[in-house]
Amino acid sequence: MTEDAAIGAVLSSFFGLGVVMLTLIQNMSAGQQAGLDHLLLGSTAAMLREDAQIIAMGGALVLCVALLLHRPMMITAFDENFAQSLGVNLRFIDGAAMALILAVTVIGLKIVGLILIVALLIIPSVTARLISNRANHITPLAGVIGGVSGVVGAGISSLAPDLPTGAIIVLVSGGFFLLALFFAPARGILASAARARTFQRRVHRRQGLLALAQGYHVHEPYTRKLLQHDGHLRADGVLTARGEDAAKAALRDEMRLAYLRRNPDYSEFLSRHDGLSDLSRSFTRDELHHIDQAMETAS
Amino acid sequence: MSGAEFVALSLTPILIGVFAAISCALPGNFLVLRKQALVGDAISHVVLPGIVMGFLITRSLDAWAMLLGAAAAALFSVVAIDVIRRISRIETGAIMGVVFTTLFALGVLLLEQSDASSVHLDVEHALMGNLESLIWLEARGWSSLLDPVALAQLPPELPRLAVSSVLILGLMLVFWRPLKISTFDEGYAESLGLPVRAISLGLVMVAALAAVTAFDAVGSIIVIAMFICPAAAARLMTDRLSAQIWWSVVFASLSAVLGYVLAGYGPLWIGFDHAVSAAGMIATVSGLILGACAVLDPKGRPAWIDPSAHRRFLRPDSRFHP
Amino acid sequence: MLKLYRHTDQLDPSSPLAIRGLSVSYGEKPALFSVDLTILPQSMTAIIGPNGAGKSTLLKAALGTVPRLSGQVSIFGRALASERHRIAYVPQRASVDWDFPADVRDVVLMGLYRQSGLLRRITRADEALAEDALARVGMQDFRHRQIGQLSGGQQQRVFLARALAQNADLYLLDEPFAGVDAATETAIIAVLKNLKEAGKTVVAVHHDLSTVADYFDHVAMINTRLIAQGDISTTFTPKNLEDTYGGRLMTAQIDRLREAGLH
Repeated sequence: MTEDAAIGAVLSSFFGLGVVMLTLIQNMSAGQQAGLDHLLLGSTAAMLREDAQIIAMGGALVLCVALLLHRPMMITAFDENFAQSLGVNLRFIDGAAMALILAVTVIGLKIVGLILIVALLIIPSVTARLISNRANHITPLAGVIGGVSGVVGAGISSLAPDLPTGAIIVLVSGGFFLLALFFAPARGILASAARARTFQRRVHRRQGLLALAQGYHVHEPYTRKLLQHDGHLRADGVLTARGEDAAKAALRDEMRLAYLRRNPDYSEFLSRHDGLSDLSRSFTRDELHHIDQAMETAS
Repeated sequence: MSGAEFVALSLTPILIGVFAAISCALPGNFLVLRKQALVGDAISHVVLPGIVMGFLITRSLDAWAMLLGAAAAALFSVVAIDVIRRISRIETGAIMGVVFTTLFALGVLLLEQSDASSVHLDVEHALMGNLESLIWLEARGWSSLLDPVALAQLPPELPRLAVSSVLILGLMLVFWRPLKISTFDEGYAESLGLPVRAISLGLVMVAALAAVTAFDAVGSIIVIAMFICPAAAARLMTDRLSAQIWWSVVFASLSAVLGYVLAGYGPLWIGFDHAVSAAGMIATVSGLILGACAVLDPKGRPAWIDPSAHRRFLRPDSRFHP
Repeated sequence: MLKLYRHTDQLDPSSPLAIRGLSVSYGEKPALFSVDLTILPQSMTAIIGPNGAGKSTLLKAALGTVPRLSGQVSIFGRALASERHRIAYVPQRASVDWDFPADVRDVVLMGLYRQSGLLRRITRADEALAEDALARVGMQDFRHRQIGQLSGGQQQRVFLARALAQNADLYLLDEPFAGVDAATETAIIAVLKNLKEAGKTVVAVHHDLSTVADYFDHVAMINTRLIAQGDISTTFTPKNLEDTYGGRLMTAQIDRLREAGLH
């Protein structure tokens, strides 16, 4: 059976069992309302000073353990086999991660509720992942996002009498997620869309120049439009003087690339290049000079 | 129990449970095969905000308004998950977690802010449904099944779920081939010109339809369990997709009937005075069935269960002549 | 001076598969850049190149299943949509979950989807077509075998049988010889050669350089760009191989190929 099916099956049937037992208990001690609502949503309003202290202490403890185990956990998350070769006990790490999640759930269940805990386990980390590509930054960033969501959410919910604190906190963190989804510098929607567009333009320009340099027509209207916009192409499909130069440069780069590809000695060299942009961006002038000379001798 | 009592008090809840279980189990087969089992979980979480919004917009407790709201919310969440996954390249499970918890929180907020909470729309109901209360008081015995006056008083959940199960079954039959091909081999399906994204979205829509119609009557626990457990158990019974579907229908019905009976009478048998949650028990039974299938492992099964196994059994290596 | 390979300006209407100026990317590095390719009718073409050179992507772009950044594809001189029924695709065996609940016959019947559509019953004629396809790959005795119980080579044959059942004119195969036993390899190549005899066109992504010249009559060499394309005898040369594989192909390997009769 696949993992997700197993998770879903265990989750739902044990949940069903829990509900059965809950109704059993409710029936046995009639009058006592151990409602499901509270477990799911918590009852922040009914929180006592002692509850807050317990949560604070429990949270601090979890934080300490997480800090302590942060290195082996990080290595395990990246590469289990490598971690094992370093002598990391995988079972211990998995168990510790589970124990931490369980601890957070138990501490928070009564006050903030199950849904909020699930939400706060996931949303800040995913948001941090959108913002940063570095594991060392993601963990503290996720902590900060979670913390800020809690403070801001609690603040908002205190503005009006019947705002459910837990739900507001989740919504605030969801808001952070949306912000990151759109505006994150590297992985955000806007940034990636802009990059994809720029990339497509680069491909069209390069392709068009190469075709023209070899005496072919450019058929694609979009390529023609871009080249005309650059001042490389006249409306009748003939290269301008500047276009001639650019086309020649593109063709020369393509020749150099072909030469580099051909020679095993240069594979290190070649890996520096993205396969598309001007070679002068990836190589120094000296290196290019060297390549040109080598090509000359070869021919 | 007399026939009259059974028809009035137990028949309709059992039938509703069976229809709800079947309509979830049918699309569940494909969700499990596509490794999207948790989509059912996600859908059933966003049903709550959908229902509340349906109520807030129409200001009525009319079932259709709420069903539409729930369907819209399910559709929205599924599309949102798909879009975010494509754009951000984050793992689907994580995105589902973000989307469904946020929407659930939104539902809770709306619920608390509106007067909906005073009118039986509460979280407990959403989870557990009210299967036990869907009785047919007008029934005077089996003969009422032929009495149009009494039939008109059937709990509306029953015809609604019956129609949706039939509709879902019909859709599965009509789109059987594209579903099968694209589930097995998406790249090949695309090469045939099949609209694989639309098929995938359509499947999730059907799952949402099942979840939404079942949810109101039986709560989301059953919905989540029935998407996964019968299908996963059925997969362990056979190596043919069509046989798997029928096995899942059998298991779903069995869970519903057995779960309802156990919840209603089980506690009495062991000396308690009150019944326990039927929804919880149905989900539990479905899990037990899956567990039993996994333990017994019918793949090393006696030959009588599945005729194709019979052939394998007799001729372990090739040489089958019709 | 090196010559860049670019041999087509117009899409050749007689070609089963003609590609011009095709660029595809999955991120911000082109997977294919400005590829021109013209497959000749009734030819057997191997697409070769190092790992990650864009070979599978080229097939997928021909099938219209990956988004193109630029370029055109024509199938028998017309748009893909109108000629799709003339293409049969054999995906990489590893691309599917073989634990799927289906038997061999089920998979082969998938190839008849275009004719059978949503609801039409499977007729005797359909069964006969599927039977024939299975017989051609030597799998007729396995028709009721669960697909997960097949060996890698048998799975590959089933995939080929499914494509044969489509009765197409252009066959696109993605690594049909990857991880298969010698008997399967012989069986598959015999089927492909028969297809060619019957006037069909075969294009296969291929990874075993030592068999290229035996199995195929044309070759397209790809490393993001099209490096060379043409007849095996003129195109499958050590120089072109070096241009394609560069540092990644050991000189020893080329020597071995040369001994095997490479020009």
